[in-house]
Amino acid sequence: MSVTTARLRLHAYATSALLLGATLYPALLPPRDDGFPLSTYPMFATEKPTRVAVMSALALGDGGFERALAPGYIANAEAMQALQTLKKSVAAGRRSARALCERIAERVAERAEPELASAHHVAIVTQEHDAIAYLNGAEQALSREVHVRCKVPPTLEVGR
Amino acid sequence: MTSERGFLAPGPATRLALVRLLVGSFATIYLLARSPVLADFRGMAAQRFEPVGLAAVLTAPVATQLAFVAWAACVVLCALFALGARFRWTGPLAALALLWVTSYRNSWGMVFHTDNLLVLHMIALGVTPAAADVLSVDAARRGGSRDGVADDARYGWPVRLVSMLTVATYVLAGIAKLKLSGLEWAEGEVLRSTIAHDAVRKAAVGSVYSPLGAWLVQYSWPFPIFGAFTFVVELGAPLALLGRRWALAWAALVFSFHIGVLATMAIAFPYPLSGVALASLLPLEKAPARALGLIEAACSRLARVPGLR
Repeated sequence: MSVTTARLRLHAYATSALLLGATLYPALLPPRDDGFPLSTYPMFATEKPTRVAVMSALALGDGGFERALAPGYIANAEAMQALQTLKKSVAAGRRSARALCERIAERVAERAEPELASAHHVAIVTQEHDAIAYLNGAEQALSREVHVRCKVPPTLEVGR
Repeated sequence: MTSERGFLAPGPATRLALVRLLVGSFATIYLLARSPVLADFRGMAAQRFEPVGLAAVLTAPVATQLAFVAWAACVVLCALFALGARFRWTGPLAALALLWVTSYRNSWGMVFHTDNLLVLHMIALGVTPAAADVLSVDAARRGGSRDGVADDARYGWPVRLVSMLTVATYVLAGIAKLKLSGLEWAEGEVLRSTIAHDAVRKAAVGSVYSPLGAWLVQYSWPFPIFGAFTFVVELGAPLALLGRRWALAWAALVFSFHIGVLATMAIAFPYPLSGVALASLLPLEKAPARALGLIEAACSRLARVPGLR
C-alpha cells in the first residue's frame, strides 16, 4: 500500500467513523433527549391529546374584537418559537408574563397595522379546544384562562 | 488512481464537485432567504436563551450585532464553499460557521430539525479537499479540466458518506417513533393527532396551517396508509445504499414524503424538498456536458476576480 493510499484510507475511515458515529449516537439516548445538530428526531413520534390547550396572545378591541397575534409580535417569524416564548414567560411568573405582554402591546402600537387599529389591549391566554372540531369550524374554546392583560401604549395609540 | 473496492471504490470527481456546488449553493441561498430568523435576534428575550450545539459554550446571548456579523460571514464562506474557492480553508470554515449560525438559531427554546442534515453534509464535504478538484475556482486557477481527471477513491467515499448521513437521519426518526410509540405508530392515530394538534397551535398564534391537514383529520382511514408509508421511508432508508436503482427509488419516496408533510402540516423541510439533500444519490456526473461546461467557464471567469485569484 502506497503512502498516498494509506493516508486516503485513514482520512476516509476516520472522517466517516467520526461523523456517522456522532450522527447515530443519539439512537442510544432516551428518545426525548433531543439536541442540535445531533438529534434523536423525536418530532411527530408520540400521540397528542384531542383536547388541546394552546397559549396565544390576543389583540382585544371594542365590540368584542379579538384577533390572535402572529408570531412576529411575540418573538420572531417562527410559530413554534413564539409558542415557547409564551409558555416560558408565563411559567416564569407574573412579572415575566407582564413584561412579555407589554412588549407585544408596544409592537402592536408601533406596527399600527390597519386590522388591529381598534385593539386597545393585549391578553396572553390559554384556551382549550377540541382539536378536530376546532379545525372544522367550531372555534369556540372549551375553556379560557387569562394569564395577563395589558394596555396598548396610549401615546402611540393616539399617534396612529 | 487507486484500486479500492466497497466504501473506497473509485467515483467520478464531477459527482463530488456537483454535490459540493449544490450543497454550498443551497446553504448560501437558505441563509439569505431565512435571514429574518437566522440573522436578526432583536425580538428575542435573553431569558429565553437555551444554548445548544456550538452555542452551548455561551452562558448568555451575544450582542445582536455580533450575531448578524457571524451570519454575514457565514453567507460569504458558504458562497466560497459552493464556488470551491480556497476550498482547503473555506471548506471547513464554512461548515463551522454554518454550525454556529444554526446552533444559535436553535438556542431559543425550540430545536428545529430542518437544519441538521444540511450541517452534517457541509461538515462531511468541508473536510474533503478533493471536493474542489474540478468544477471550482481552485481548479480553474490551476488550469485543470474535469476531462483530465480519472475516477478515483478520493472522489467516491465522500459522496457515499453524504448518502449514509442522509440515510442515518431518517433511520433515527424511525427509531424514535418505535421507541416512543412502538409499531402502533403505523396505525395512523399518532400521526392524525399530531397533525390536528400542530394545526390548532399554529392557528392559535395566527400562523399558517394546512387546510388540507385540517380537513383530513376528520377521517381516520387515510392515516394508517400515511403511517405505514412513513415507516417504509424511514426504516427502509438503508436500502438506498444497495445500488443506483434503490437509491433513485428511495429518493423519490423521500421527496414525496416531504411533499406530504408540507401539504398536511404546512411544515417545509427545504433541504430535501429542494432535492439537494438527495443529490448524492443521483448520477449527477451524467448532467449534460453543456451545463458542466458552463459551470467551468463561470469558474474560470471568477478565478480572474481579485481576491479569488
